[in-house]
Order: sequence, then C-alpha cells, then structure tokens
Amino acid sequence: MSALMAVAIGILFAASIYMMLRRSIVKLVMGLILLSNAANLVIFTSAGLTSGAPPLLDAATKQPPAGVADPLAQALILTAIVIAFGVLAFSVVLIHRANEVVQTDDLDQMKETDQ
Amino acid sequence: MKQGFAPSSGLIMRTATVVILPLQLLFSVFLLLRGHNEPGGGFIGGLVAAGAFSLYLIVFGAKASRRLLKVDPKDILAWGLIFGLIATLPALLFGQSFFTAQWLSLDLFGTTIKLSTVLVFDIGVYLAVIGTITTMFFALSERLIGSQ
Amino acid sequence: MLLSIALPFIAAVVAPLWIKKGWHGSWLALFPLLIFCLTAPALADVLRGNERIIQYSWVPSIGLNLALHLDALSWLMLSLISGIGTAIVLYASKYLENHPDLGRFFLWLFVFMGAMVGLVLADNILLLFVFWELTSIASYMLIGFNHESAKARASALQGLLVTVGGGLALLAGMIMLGYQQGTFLLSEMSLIAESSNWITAAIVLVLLGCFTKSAQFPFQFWLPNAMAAPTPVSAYLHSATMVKAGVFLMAQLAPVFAEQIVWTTLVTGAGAITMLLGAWLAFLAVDLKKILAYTTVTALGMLTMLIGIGSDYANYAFATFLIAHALYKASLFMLAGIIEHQSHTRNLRRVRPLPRSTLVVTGMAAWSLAGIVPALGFIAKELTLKANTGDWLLTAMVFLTAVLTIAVAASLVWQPLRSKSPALPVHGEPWQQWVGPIVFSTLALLLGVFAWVVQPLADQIASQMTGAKVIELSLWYGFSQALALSGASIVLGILLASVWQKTRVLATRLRWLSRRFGSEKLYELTLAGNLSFADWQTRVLQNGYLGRYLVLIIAITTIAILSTLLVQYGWPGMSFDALESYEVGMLFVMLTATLYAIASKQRFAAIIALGAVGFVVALIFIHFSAPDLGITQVLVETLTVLLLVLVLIKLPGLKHYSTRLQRFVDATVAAGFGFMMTLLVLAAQENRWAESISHYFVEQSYPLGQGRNIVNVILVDFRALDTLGEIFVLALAALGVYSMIRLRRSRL
Repeated sequence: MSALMAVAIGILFAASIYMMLRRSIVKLVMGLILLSNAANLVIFTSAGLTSGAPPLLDAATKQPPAGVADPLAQALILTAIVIAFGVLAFSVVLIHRANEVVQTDDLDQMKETDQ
Repeated sequence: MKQGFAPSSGLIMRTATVVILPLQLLFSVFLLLRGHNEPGGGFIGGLVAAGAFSLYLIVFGAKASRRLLKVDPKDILAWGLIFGLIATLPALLFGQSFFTAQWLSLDLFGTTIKLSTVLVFDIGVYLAVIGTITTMFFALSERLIGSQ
Repeated sequence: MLLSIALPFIAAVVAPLWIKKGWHGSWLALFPLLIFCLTAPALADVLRGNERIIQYSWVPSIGLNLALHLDALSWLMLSLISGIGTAIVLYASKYLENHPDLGRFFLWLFVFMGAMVGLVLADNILLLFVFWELTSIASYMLIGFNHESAKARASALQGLLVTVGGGLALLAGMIMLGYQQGTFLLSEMSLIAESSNWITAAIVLVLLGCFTKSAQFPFQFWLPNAMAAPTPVSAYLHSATMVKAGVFLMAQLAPVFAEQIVWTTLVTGAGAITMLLGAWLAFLAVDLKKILAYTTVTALGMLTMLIGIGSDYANYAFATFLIAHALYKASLFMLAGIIEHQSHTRNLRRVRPLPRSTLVVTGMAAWSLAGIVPALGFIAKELTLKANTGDWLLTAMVFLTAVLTIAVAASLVWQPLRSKSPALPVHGEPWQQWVGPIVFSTLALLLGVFAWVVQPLADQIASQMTGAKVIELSLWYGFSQALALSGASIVLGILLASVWQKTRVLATRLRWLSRRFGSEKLYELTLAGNLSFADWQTRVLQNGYLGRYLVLIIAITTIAILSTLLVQYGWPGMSFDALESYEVGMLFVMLTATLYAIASKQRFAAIIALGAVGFVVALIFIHFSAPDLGITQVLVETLTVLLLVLVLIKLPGLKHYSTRLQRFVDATVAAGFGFMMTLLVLAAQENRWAESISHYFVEQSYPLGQGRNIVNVILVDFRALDTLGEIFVLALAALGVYSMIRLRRSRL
C-alpha cells in the first residue's frame, strides 16, 4: 500500500504545484489546499502505515496495542492541519483584499507595488 | 444562484440549527474533557464548537450570532491564550522547569476527579480555536454579506 | 566584578530618566567613579599575580560561559575606563548641557562603558566577542549622535561596517582558536609551538578583527571620520576605550601566538606602517580633532608594533605607553572642545590667541604627546627605541614618527601663540570641563618622574605577556643610541613645527592625493559595487512575477534533491503487494477529485472536489490508526469549504491566462516535483537513519502524562510549548484576517 501511497502523494504534489503556478489567484489558493494535504500525507506515510492499532492505551492494562502507530507523527500532523487552516484563511482573505484593491485576479498584473 | 449567503429563511434549517446547537456545544465540551484518554481534545472540541457557531452564523446572520455569543470573538481568543499561559505558571511555584504539568486528585463523593494544568492548557487550546475561527468568520460574513 | 559590568548598564537606564527630571548630569559621574573605587582595592591582589576568576554557566552547550577574570592588564584598562569615564561624564554634562538629546547621549555612553568593562573583564572569548560587538553598536549610536547631519550618519555607518565586518572575522578566528586550544577561556590558553594552516587562518582572522577595531593599516580611515561625534565621545572612544579594544585583545593573545611567524610579522609590520602613516597624516591635517585622531592612529600603531616585537623592552614600553597615551589623549580631546569653544574654530590655521590657562594645560598635554623629559611618554619612547635596536628599518620609522609627532605637538601650542587674529572675549569654562584635562595632563607628566608608581603594574603586565626579565623604569638609561635619537627628534621636530604654517598648501594637495588613492577610496568602491550588484540581482531575480519565483525555486529544489537522492542512495524499490481493493478505491477517488478540481472551470465544482480530496485524506487517517487526525481533518475540511464559499464567491471565476507553452513548462516542473516527492517517500520508507523517539512517548504517556490518548498527551503535555506557539500563530492569523477586513483606510 505504501508504494501506491507514494505515487498518489506524488500526483497530489504535482497537481498542487501546477495549480500554484497559474496566474489566477483563485487557483493559487486551491493549490495551497492541495499542498497542505499532500504534505500531511508525506509525514503520515513516512512514519509507517499501520491499520488497526491507534495510539490509545488500553483502559484497563494501560498498554498500547501491538505494533502501535507512531503517535509523534500524528501529533505533528494534527498541529499542521490546524495551522494550515489558519494560514489558508489568512491567504484567502489577503487575496480577496488584493483583488479588491487592484481589481484583477491575474497575478502578473499585481506585480507593481505602487499604483 | 444568489450572490452570497444571506441568512437562510428555510424553516427546517432554522429549527434544526436551534435544536442542534446546544447538543453540538455539549458534545464539544465532552470531546474536550475526554480528550486525554480517548480521541478528542482541545483542537477537536474547539473545531466542533466553532463549527456549531459557523452553522448558526450562516443560518441566522452575524448580528444574531453575536447576540448569541454575548462576548466578542476576539475576547474568546484572548482568553484562550491567557489560559494557555496560565497553565505554564504553577510549575514555577514548585521550582520545576517551565511548563511541567501539575496534577491534583480530588475525591468527591466517591469518584476521583483529576484536575491538572494540562486540562487548563487544553481548555486554552479549545478557546483559542473557537476564538480564531469565530473571529475570522464573523468578520468575513459581516464584510462580505452585510450584517443582518 | 559582576557589579562593575552591571553598574554602567544600570546607569544607562537611569540616565535618561535622570535628565528628563531636569537634574544635572554631573551626578551621573558617580557611576563610573564607583566602578573606579570598586576596582582600586583589587590592585594588591593583581600585583601579586593572582588572577581573579569568576564563572557562571550561561549557554553551556556552545561553551559560552559567563567567565570573568581580572589580571594586571584588565585591571589597568578597567581603571582607565572608569577613571577617564568619570571625567568624560562630568565634561559632557556641561559640554552638552542644553542639548535636547542629552538623555539619549548618556544612555549610549553608559552602554558603551558597560560593554568596554565587560570586554576587558571577559575571560571567555565568545563572551568577549559579545561585548566587542556591543561596543561597535554603541559607538555607532554615539558617532551618529548628531543624526541630522548626513556626514555624521555616513561616518557612523562607516565605523560600524568596518568594525562589525572585522568582528565577524574575529568570531570565526576565535572559534578556530577555541577548538585548537580546547578551551574558550583566555586564562587557560597556552603557547602554540607548532604551526599549521589552521592556526595561520585563525591568526589572520583574529587580526582582521583587531586591526579594524584598532584602526590599523589599511583600516585606519574610519577613525578620523568618527570625529563627527561630539567631543566627549571622541575623547572617550579614542583615548581609553573602543580603539584600545583591539590592542587589548592582541596583548591578551600575545602569549598564545608569540611563536608564530605570521603573527609577529603581521602585527609588527601593520603596527609600524600605521604608526608612521598616522604621524604623517597628523602632520598634514589642520582640523584639531582630525590631528588628534591621527595621533591616536599613530599611538595605536606603536602599541601594536610593540606587541608584535614582544621583547622585554617592548613589553615594558607597551605598558607605559598604554597609560601615558590614555592620559594625555583624553585631556587633549577635552581641550580641543574647550579650544573650539574659546576660539570658534577647530582649524589650527585660523585658531585665535587663547587664554593663558588653556595654553598652559594644552602645553602640558602636548609635552606628554611629544614624549619629552620628564613625561611618562618619554620613558615609553626610550624603551621603544631600545626594543628596536638592531633593526634599522623599524628604528628609522620610530624616529620619523617621533619627529612628526613632536612637530604636531609643538604646533598645537605654537599656532595659538603665533596667531595674529584678535582674541575673543574669554568666558570661563565650568570646573566640570577642567577637571579631566588638568588631572590627566598633570598625571601624564608626573608619572614620568615618579615612575616607581607604575613599575609594579608594568612588571606584572610585562610578565603576563611574554616577559622574562624585569626592567626598571627610569628617565635616565645613560647615554645610548636611543637617547641620541630622542634628542635629534626633538630638534628636528621643532624645526618642522616652525614651518608648519608654510607647509599647508602642500599638505592640502597631499591630502587630496591620499583621498584619491587611499584605502578609504577602496572602501567606497566596495560599498558602491555591493550596492550595484544588489541592484542588478534584484532586477534579475525579483522581477515581480510570482509564478517565475516559484518555478525557479521548485525547479532548483527538485534538481538538488533528486540528484542527491539518486547519487547517494540509488533508486528506491517499489512493491505493490498486499493491496486491499478498498484502499485502491480510496486513492482512486482522491486522485479523480484532484484532477477534476484542476480541470474544472466552475468555482463551486472545484471547491467541492477539493472537499472530496480532504475527506478522503480523513478516511486514510482513520483507516491507518489515526482517529484524532481523521476527526480533525473532517472538521477542518468542513470549515475550509465554508470559508472558500464565503470568500471565493466574491472573486472572479476560474480563467485561463497562460499560453499553451507556459502551461506545458509549468506542468513539466510540477510533474518533476511530484516525481521527486514520490521517490523521496519511497526512500524514506526503506531507510531509517535514526532511532525513532516515538516509543518514549508511548511508554511514558501514562506514567508521566496520566493520559491514555498518546497523541493528546504529546500535544498538551510533552510538547505543550509547541502547541502554545501554535495557538499564538492561530491568534495572529485571526487578527490578521480581522484587521484586513475591518480596519481599512477609506481611500482604498
């Protein structure tokens, strides 16, 4: 599975980069979203994929299940998901503002700093 | 499609939102409190609560939501940060390094209740997440849709 | 000792408030005076050769400890800094009495003082470097004190660039030295007998730092320009402190490097050249402060040369000259301020007749500058000439320097005497301005007669450097070549002074030449070149098209990582066994949604497709044992879709702007990056280079964290500081969004 996952991640990255290189700012935002998903999956996959062994200790024995999944990677990704949302919100609003001010959604028209 | 999300007038949506909101909030607190042992925690709880408020926002508009919330979303955010910081301090009293968790077990009517700085911190995270999302969404909807 | 370092910084905080209250600045002189009183009692101990060492741990991981030591040399420097500092503060409190920024002035003066105290007391060379840089910054603020003058600003910047640039080299050299020695403590370093490229490099780097700081050739140009500073600053920076820092460090390191040929050659050579060049330029200059600045350059060159020679005579000459120079130079600079005030010019050609009191004190200080019997400077000169016996080149240079210096010193007194212009009405200067010059110039003269006072300190400093035998300090060493040269220099010097006025036309022309071809020109060219290079590369790289930046960054990253990966590890293997059909199904849905999002021309369809991608990712999390992640992802994905719907509705639809070729190039770069990531993930699965630390969290989650959800325990307990940082980032993002939406200027 993990090999297939690696291929999927590659495609996800390629798609996100392609979108980020477009001149339309809306597409740029969409590229950002794909990028954060792809990045999270990289960490997740690299830590090893295990099914059926979540990092929760048994209520009675206080022991983890056998072959427990890596909790550290999960903590990292959880943080990353929430942060990515904050950053996304910020950039979406920034782009909205930029569009309002310069009256274009074409990034190449936005290159002058003063109008 | 109509431009923007004006407050919805759909009866089912309105009724459902009013009924669901308390349940969502209760569930979010439940998720927060159990988070140390089962899936959940400050982030997840906060997201659920923020989702609940966002739903209300879409259905009833920003003005009504502010009335419901009573406090400014930015204040919630600030309280979240303050709780987070407070949780770091007790360790100083005991001369331990910054942020060392402190636990206090209380026996109340036969059940053990565990209080800890970790819980305080998780509450801080919970509030900060709610505050962040509501601050953003309220501001956005007031600006983009107009505050009905 | 810690108190001595703390006091100036306390004063720096107090001073602005003090001045703001309207209280008189003279009282602030109590701070340096207190340091002086604290330092004095340590003398007995120091003379017995006991170094006082204190250590506090600071950043032990990089070997940076708060280690202080007090030996004879640092004791001397410390008393000069605090003693002269006292006089300077008094002087400045009157000199700048009604200046609106007096508070700021004292602030930086005390910061500077504190940095100097720290510098001479530091035992750890990294700590020393910290204070070293602090003096550069403080002096930048002081030189540029009159920040409305463009010249002051340029001079301040020049000083800063030169000294901080040298400081960087010094840091590198210090670290190399520290590794070679196995210690960063000055007091534990020992003589290096062998030589290697490593040591040579360390020496060159350290010397770059010292030479820039102490204005040695070819970096001498910044010091005279620093005269843009208010006079008290010039007096302080150029007598006792800043410029002595480099000399001080070289003296401290002399016992370590004494056997290295690179060291002796460079130090002696640069010192001798600087000495002669400074004297020559001092003779050419007409601005009083410039003249003094160049004589400082001379003195620094001489001190440096003496360190380089490192014989017994040289060490004693070094110790006596260090004291003598600090004393007479401080008083000369303070006198320059007084003369400027009384004569309304600093130009020595146009100076007016001065009151007798001023002339007498100036005469005393100039006497020491000239180094004529009975001044302490005379002993220093005798010893210097003796140290050079046998080397005719150095002897000639010292002799010429002496002639020029005596000519300059004589002119300082002679010019006002000869002046034909009418004297201005005399208004007396307050006592605060007279204390320093009188005390210091008297001391400089008397210490020559009572040389036994200086003797024990000089003994100790000499032995601390590379000294072996004791030399008695005396005004009379019998008839010798040195005495003869000394006498000859006096005669020639006075002859030269008598034609000072006539040489000015020539001097102006020569000054023009040196400006044209000197090292300052090189500095200017370097600076201009740097700017135009920055300009050029900004135009090429920062062209304002976001897409091009990204393509460049991504393409380079891809190539760099891919080539490293393939060269170092080869192709990672790939196996597609043990696939479950629903797993394949999940990925298929995700990729289909992704491609649909790219290709779609409708915003809402694209947003929903993106949402679908996010939900599949959540499914993957849940399927592979990450319930917390799954829940979070679902919730965030919902909010993301909501956010996009709220905002994107106001934005234009999806349009194609790029040409077909552009799209092809972008697609290639993107595909390359994706390919690279695939290989990277595959390689990461095959290799584990380090032991995972996760098992610690798994084992300790319950015992230490009292929680069974390990992910949550990591978030709120083990790594809580990270999480705290994260919620602050969230808060920032929220406030950013809020202010972008709500707080806007009306014209936009």
